[in-house]
Amino acid sequence: MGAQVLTVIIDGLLLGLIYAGIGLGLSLILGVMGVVNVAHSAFIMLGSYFAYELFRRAGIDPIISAALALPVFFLLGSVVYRTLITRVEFTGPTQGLIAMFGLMVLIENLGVIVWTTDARALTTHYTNTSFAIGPAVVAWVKVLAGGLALALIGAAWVFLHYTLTGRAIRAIGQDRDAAAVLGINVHQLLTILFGLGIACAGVAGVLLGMIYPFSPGGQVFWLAWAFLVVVLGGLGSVANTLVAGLVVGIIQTFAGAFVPFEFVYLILYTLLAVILIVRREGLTSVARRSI
Amino acid sequence: MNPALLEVDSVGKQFGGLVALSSVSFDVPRSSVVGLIGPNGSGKTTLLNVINGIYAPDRGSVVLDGVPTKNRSPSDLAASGVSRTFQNARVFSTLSVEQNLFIPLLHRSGGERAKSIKRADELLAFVGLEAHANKTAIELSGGQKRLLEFARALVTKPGLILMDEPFAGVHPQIKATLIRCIQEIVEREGASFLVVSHEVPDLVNLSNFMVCLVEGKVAAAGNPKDVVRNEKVIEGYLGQSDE
Repeated sequence: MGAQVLTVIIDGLLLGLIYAGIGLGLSLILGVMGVVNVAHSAFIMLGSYFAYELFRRAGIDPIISAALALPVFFLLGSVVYRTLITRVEFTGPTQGLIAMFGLMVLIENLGVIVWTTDARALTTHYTNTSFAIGPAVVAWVKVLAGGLALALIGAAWVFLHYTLTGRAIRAIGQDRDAAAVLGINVHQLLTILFGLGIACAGVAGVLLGMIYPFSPGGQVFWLAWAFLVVVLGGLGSVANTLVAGLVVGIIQTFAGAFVPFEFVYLILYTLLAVILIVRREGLTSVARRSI
Repeated sequence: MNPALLEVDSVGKQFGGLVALSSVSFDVPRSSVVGLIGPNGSGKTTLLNVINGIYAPDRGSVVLDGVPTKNRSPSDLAASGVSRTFQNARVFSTLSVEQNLFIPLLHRSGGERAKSIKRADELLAFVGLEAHANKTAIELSGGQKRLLEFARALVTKPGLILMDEPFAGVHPQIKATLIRCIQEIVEREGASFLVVSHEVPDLVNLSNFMVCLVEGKVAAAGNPKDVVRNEKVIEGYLGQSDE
């Protein structure tokens, strides 16, 4: 029992780091821009297939793919911002939500066309290897993925808190007009922010693909996880997102270990509903005080 | 060189059926303070928003340094030397006092940025906030936030500073600091200020020129002492003679 609990805690913390990575991009985009990016999980799915294709066609290790996903998905996010978001960001939240939902459906269906509905997996030489910490057994792949997620979160935190561009992005999140009248090119910085958010999704997709099988239709489950992290941690705050990811990871692994599988989602969605009821405030108001 | 830094010519602005500004015209001369007074809802803040590009005028034109500002964004106008403060001090509350001052330097080149960083430090001392440089802005009092917002508006050495109700609800000492700083910046750097305020006696003493808006129209414009004696201004705003 003791060994199982220790394994569950370590697994939960490692998965929690990845969940924090999943929630981070969504949290930043919603917190600073007020855009509910429901297509976030579709980019996570694309991240998994990005690593899958690089591994299958060129034998590139997913760890390298995680690093490559950063600029590739940053660019992709920047293009999506310039071509889609700029057209809907001032038209009210409903139009933005519908546009992002449309993008999610588009990406998912393109995924089905290209990769079919079959689940795929990234199986490397370290996929099934593990090591012992005392009585607990820890999978190497989870340590690697968790470590990369932590590096991603740390890099985002350093960028937002220690660079002038990052601080200006936080300033825009607090007061867009005040930043604009100081000469800040708001669109340029929001392009960077959206690119960063999608880059987080892409990298998280690679990391999830290292651990779980994936399919185009399965992406939507990650959206619920991402929202749970965001709701728990508040928006726009990297540190809070990290803590929320760890909490969700621990809850999931404990629920997975000690209650029947079908109850895991019930527990998580109940938690989501309870937090929203208790907080009694919209997501955006949480954002404004956290950035 | 055009004698006026800013020319507001027949500017009109409407929100649905509400006419906020109707054919407003006046100039802001170089190296001067122009006071803008008027009752609540007379269009003062709307006018500032038109001048710095937050709103586009429906009619008329705004010309800055001889160049029309039509279709220019607030950030573009800021790059051309227009800066402003808001009715409620809008500082970036989770950034430090010093970081607030550095935000306007984002798009500046290396050398220019280094000079401005030095200026930011000088401005903190200028407004008396040097001891608070590392505090988070949310920790400041309301008056200190106004001083910070004012210093932040000056970092890039703008030619025109728009100030919306800078003296509202602040301690007399903070008000005195703001007035002293405005006068020094005009004298030392040749900048111009357009100041909206209900503190009419202070504004009369501070301004070289005054405009009174009533119901979106210019009720009177000219020498501040003459403006506050104007019958239309007394009737539409002050209620009684200022003397």
